[in-house]
Amino acid sequence: MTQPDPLDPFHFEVSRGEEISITETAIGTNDLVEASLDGNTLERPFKFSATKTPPHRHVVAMQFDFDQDHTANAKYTWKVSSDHGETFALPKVTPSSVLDPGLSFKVIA
Amino acid sequence: MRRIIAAMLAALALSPFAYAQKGYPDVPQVISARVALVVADMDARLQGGAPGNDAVSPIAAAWDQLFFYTVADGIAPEQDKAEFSIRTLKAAQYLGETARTDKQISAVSSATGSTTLVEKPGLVTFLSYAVEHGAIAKAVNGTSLTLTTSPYSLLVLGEGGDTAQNFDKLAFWRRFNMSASFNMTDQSNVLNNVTTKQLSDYSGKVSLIGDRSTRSSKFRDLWNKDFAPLIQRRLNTLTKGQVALLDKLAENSPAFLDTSDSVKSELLKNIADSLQGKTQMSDTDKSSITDKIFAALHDGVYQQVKTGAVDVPKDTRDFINTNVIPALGSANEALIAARENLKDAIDKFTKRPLLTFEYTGHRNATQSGYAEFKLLYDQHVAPLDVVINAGFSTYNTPSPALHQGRIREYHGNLELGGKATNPFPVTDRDLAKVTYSVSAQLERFEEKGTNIAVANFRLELPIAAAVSIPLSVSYANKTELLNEKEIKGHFGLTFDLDKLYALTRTLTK
Repeated sequence: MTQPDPLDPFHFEVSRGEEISITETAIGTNDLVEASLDGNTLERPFKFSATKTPPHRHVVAMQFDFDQDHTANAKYTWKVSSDHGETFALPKVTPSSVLDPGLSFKVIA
Repeated sequence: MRRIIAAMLAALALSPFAYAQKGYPDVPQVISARVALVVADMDARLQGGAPGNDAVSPIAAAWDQLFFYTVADGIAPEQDKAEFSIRTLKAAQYLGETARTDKQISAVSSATGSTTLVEKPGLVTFLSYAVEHGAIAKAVNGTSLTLTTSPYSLLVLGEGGDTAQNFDKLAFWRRFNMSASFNMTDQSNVLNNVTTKQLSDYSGKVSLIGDRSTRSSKFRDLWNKDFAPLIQRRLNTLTKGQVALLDKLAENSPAFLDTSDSVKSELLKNIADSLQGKTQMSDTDKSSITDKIFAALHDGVYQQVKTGAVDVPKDTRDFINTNVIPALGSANEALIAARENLKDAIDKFTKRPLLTFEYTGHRNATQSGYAEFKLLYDQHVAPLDVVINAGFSTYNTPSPALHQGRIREYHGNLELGGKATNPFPVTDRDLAKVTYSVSAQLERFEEKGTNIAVANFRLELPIAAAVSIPLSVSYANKTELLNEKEIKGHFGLTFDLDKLYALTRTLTK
């Protein structure tokens, strides 16, 4: 798995068969996160295999919510990992962030 | 909270009505609202110290949705009369923050000018001050400094911080919290006031029954059962449409996908360069960046599809126009309705029984200090909220000369409160209710052998959107100082920023 554009931490290039994991940690808030992969619910732990052929893409949409008792510095930290060994940290999500970021995984090989 | 409101208001200020849409004439609202949120997020990141390269990440986070909505705009039938079309589709609602009614935001009951006779139990006050990295929270109120901590906040320091997992795992230790107040003489560095000499009060609280925090696993279960499925429905509909489109484009027009990736990369680089060295955005920056994003979407995506330079097959067009967009519209409507349901659910959640024990030590420079022991109970008994406090206080060093024994006083409080429909609603969207309470307090001072009875009536009347007047009238048969009856009244003005924001946002739709 690679991140071809350093300015775009949400777009990845992967190989067919690669297993991708998305892990998140809720700090100062309840853990209220949903995820969807290609039209279907992505259950916890958020994990899937790249099954498409090049140059198709897998699409993931996430949503992070903050409960009303969250602390002033509440945030989510999260990262995307591959079973091939790569791990990429994603920008933290705070209450003022875009709370439903999208990830795309282009299958290139 | 202040930061959230500021960011949200910034997003509102960046609405399509705020800036001319040169880059994307007649841009659909679902796109312009999302771009406004992106720019507000970028500004917040810059103000948080992120460099320009990192501050552009919200554009990347939102790009897949922006791309999808822009293609949907390009393939939308002319004069679409459908109930839900890309032109009528509204921005998705986040459920997140919802106003809560049991936060005791007025002064504590013993403070001058307070309109509250009975203290409410609960750890909300502590939780609102919980710290992410430090184990102690500090709050300055006039000439008083209060430090608050708990075993929980100390324990999480070595356990990875105040995470959702630790909040569940260390739930027992969340039941305890302690605080100490100091008289402030040094306003420049408030922590300089933390000395034994300046210590005025100290207290400990134990929550014996109940946990009303929306950070608890019980609230998460409620969320997962009733609200997560609605969010999931929207996300699944969205990715279903996205992947249907991307699969067709990958088969028929792979070069267009590569080109749109390049459009995004160029946009990110251009904006990151323009933000280098900046710590916040000016209005000009916001306008310029908004226009650049609109232009990239319009020229790089919309025009390609609209002019037919990129072919989106008819079956895909039909699927998006007649299936995905209406389903997204319906999912959004469900989320809008869910916001009200969530408010009701939280209301019920925060009315579960709660029993707290509280110890407070009062120091006094000239007389003997004393300690208070209180039990606080709070429960909803339809249609009223019932709050009962009972306790006693003891002198630390009784003075025989002042006829003081060990026991200083006994007291008991009872409050019955409720809500009623506002007879003067400002708009049909203003759901604020009139709140009222009747309370009574009986107190016996042992050294003087006096019994003091106080009755209080409190009414909070909404007079405008998110603005209300709290009024109270109290009667006492005598006071601690004077052996004569006293009748006094208080009134004030309360602004609720949470509601103000929610109303502003609703009214703009």
